[in-house]
Amino acid sequence: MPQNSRLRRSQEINLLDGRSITVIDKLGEGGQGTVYRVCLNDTMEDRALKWYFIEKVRNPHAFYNNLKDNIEKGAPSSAFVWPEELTEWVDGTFGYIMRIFPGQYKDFSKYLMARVKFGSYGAMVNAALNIVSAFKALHNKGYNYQDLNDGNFSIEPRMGDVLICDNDNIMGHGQSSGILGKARYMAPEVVRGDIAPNRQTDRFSLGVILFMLLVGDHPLEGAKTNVPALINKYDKKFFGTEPLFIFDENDNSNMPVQGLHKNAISFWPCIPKFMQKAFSKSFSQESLLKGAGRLQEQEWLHLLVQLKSSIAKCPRCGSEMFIESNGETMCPDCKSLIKPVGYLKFAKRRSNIEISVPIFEGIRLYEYHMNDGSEDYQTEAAVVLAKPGKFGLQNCSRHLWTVTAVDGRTSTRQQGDVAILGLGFKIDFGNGNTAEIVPN
Amino acid sequence: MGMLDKAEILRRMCPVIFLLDASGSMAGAPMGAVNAAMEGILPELISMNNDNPDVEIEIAVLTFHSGTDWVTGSSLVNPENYVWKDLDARGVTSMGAAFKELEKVLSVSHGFVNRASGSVAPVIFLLTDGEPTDNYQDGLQALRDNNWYKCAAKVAVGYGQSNDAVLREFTGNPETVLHTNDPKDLTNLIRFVTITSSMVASRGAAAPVNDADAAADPNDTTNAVAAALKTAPPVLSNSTDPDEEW
Amino acid sequence: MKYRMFAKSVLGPKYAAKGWRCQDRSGKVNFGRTQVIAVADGHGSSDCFRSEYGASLAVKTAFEQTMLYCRNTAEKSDAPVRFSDTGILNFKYAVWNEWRRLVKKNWDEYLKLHKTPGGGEVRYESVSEKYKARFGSSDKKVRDRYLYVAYGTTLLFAVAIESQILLLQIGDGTCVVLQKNGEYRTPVPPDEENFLNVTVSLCEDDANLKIRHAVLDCDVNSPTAPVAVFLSSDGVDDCYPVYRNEQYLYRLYSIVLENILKVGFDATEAEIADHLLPGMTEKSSRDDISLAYFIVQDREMLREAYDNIDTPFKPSAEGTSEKP
Repeated sequence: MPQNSRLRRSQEINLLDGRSITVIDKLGEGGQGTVYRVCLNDTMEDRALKWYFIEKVRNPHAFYNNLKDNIEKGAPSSAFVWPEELTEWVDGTFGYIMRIFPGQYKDFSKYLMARVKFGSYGAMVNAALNIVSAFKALHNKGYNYQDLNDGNFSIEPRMGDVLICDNDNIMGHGQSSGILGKARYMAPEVVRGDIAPNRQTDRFSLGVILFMLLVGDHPLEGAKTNVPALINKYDKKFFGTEPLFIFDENDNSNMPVQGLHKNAISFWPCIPKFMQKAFSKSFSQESLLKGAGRLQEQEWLHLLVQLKSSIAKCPRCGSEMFIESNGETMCPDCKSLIKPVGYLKFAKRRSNIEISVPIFEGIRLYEYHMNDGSEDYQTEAAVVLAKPGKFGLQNCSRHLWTVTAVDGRTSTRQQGDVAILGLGFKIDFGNGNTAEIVPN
Repeated sequence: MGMLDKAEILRRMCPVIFLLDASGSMAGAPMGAVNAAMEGILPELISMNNDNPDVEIEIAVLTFHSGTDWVTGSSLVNPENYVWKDLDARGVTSMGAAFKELEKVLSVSHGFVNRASGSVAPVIFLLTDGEPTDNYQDGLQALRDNNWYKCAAKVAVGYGQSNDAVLREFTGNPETVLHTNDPKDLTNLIRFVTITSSMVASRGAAAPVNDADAAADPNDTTNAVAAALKTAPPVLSNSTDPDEEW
Repeated sequence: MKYRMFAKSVLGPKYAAKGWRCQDRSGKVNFGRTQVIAVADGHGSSDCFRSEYGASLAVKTAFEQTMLYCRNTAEKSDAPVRFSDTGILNFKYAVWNEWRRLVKKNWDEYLKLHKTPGGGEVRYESVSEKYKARFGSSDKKVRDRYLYVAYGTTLLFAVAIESQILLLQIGDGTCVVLQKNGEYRTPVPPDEENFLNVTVSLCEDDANLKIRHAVLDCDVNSPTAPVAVFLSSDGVDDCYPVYRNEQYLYRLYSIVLENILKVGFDATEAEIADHLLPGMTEKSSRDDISLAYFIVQDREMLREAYDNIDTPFKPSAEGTSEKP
């Protein structure tokens, strides 16, 4: 007789640390259990309680202990809605409490179905950067994800803030929870059964999520996967043994299908080449079949900041678009091809990636650009201004810049000042971090 | 007992909400006209409810002066169970506050429309003899974001020195804003506008066009009321002054 | 899990009075180990003057595409057969695409017979001038773009294979699930665009991207296994208040389940078709009304689930219940 593990309103439950909670309301249900709104009896603060269907948990005691460990180690970063404390065992099952997250956050899967839209390109790229940061924090703490899928992330559409939930299947390095997650997000080697999930396989999943976020469709779903089967009998083939990137440079038999993969068809041409290259590398046959060439979080970080600093408004129709530093990019709305007059080329590469920023009205630089040790992609540090006949870069940061002209003359620019962007000029943003103005 | 008898079906409900100016300038003849009108409306609404098997009309009345008051209480009332209590007039004209109160009750979870089912749009009737003395724009903007307000049939009557431009902003359709300077005419006008718009809304005569390419026009009910107001037959005025202005 | 299937649509008095036929369609089908129920509600608004055909074709397409996409589900395989996300994405597109193809075919045949749009259709009088111009436009591109609006419909359907049930929905109406542990749920994600009369429609461009879905696990040992799945068109939903509408539906379905446990499926289904549905629309929504369901054949499981239903969602012993 299966346990009827439903909780009643006003039911009280004890936590392991001696506190107790009272059940208020049911919030929702997932595959593994039910989520309730509860309140802490001592402070009357609200929390969410995840209460398990014990039949759905493999090795409940091991699972319980893993949760205990994770609770003690703490969340990798504030982006994670992390288990706060376990409850006692009640009627053969248990749960844990965590903070309730605010309503404006929407499930990532809703963005994929275009039922929620980002407020701006900036919010979308912020979401991407925030997801990468969260992954980095997770891996740095020695965890790996194991059951990543589009239900794990919640994103706030205006600013792109990200909250990562369902963190009960996060495992320490070398352990496995037995939850394999959805084939669509799993690395092919895991789908094939060659290997258990680990950091490298997580990186593949990260690549898939970034592709779906920025391009709007799955990187491996195209003509070849459009077969009349509702059930999963081909999933192992599509995502494990015969995966093929929809924009694979050497094989176009899996190209996106009109009407079915609309986003891939519309948005891929509007993604700057440096991002396209990164995706091609992540989903090359080398990566899919041999696990080679996947980008690390740090590399994604640099590429995505570059992407963030390429957001501008189309001069023809005013829609947001990405501008490539040294080439043409297409506006997703009016399809015009836009190329900037030149770009800022930074002297120092980071993670072996060249950093450049197009010179185009409205382009923004961040604290990240001021200091090659900074990873701050939120604090604005400079903005490109345009006037008839010239471009300028306004210093919005607290750093003192030094501009050096071709003939060696220098000038300083402090907060509020605008540096004229002349051919061949070099700008030192302070801290020895310099960039040169290169024409196209 | 068959399943149907247990199935507790409810008739659909059409809320008719009155926002009435009870400021000091309304004292005397105008307020008298309003009281007479409202008292006379109740039996007519009861009669409409009896004749209409589809929809039941329920009302709520908010007066605005220096503050606001839900005269009918915290929920809608059935005209059958309600006895009109004469209103007094005093104070200024807090129309903005009235808009905010209205916005609060046009909510399924916390407001009046929790009993409403399916596809009947409410009627909102606004009456004033002057000008808002508070900031009405914020309240109006909040209303504009409210789905129930958008789909409601919005009608207004301006009396005397009323600022009808504000009323037109409120209804969104100049043809559902009527005006009079005569207290006796005011009674008739209130009754005429209320009955016509309630009839239109409760018969669902203006089913919004479900056009897949353009969003259904939420103003359809107001537009239908405008059309009905124009085509309704003129009534003999109660006026005793042959020189009365048109 | 094996389910009893039921599907019925009844013409609403609102439309009978105008001389229209029922715009709702519903149906049930099973092949191999797959069972399918569907409900489609042709739009009543003026421009959708052939919506009853839109609804029929929607139900037909749902069944045909399911049969195509669920071939060979009984094949032996080492892993449990489950729905695939990729498959669901492809399926939604196929259903929408095929519906459009059948609608276009129907339109072309209709015009062959009647020469001009509107022939033989009493509903054509109510079509707006804007759409009359579009349906009858001399520009083929305009006609081809807008003809689908005439057939506008919603569609809800449920596909049961051995291990799971897939619920799909576009437009209004509600899908209610009763779990083994007595809990009622509405698992299909809500659509913020449905409000008052306005509903998302299968005739929209990109409708395939707007089809919502949910997958239920049918592990017979799990407390969340579905013992009943109910599909209703808005003709049912509109008999009850908007606020917490689902709770009224839960009580209605408890009444149906109680009846089944008392007098069995056949008698209950006859009463639903002959008295309950016609009575509900007569007294309340006045709209075309449809109900379809999967209910487990296993009487013990059904009884246990029924007994576990929370009191507010069940009729009381006297036959009337307290308001929630």
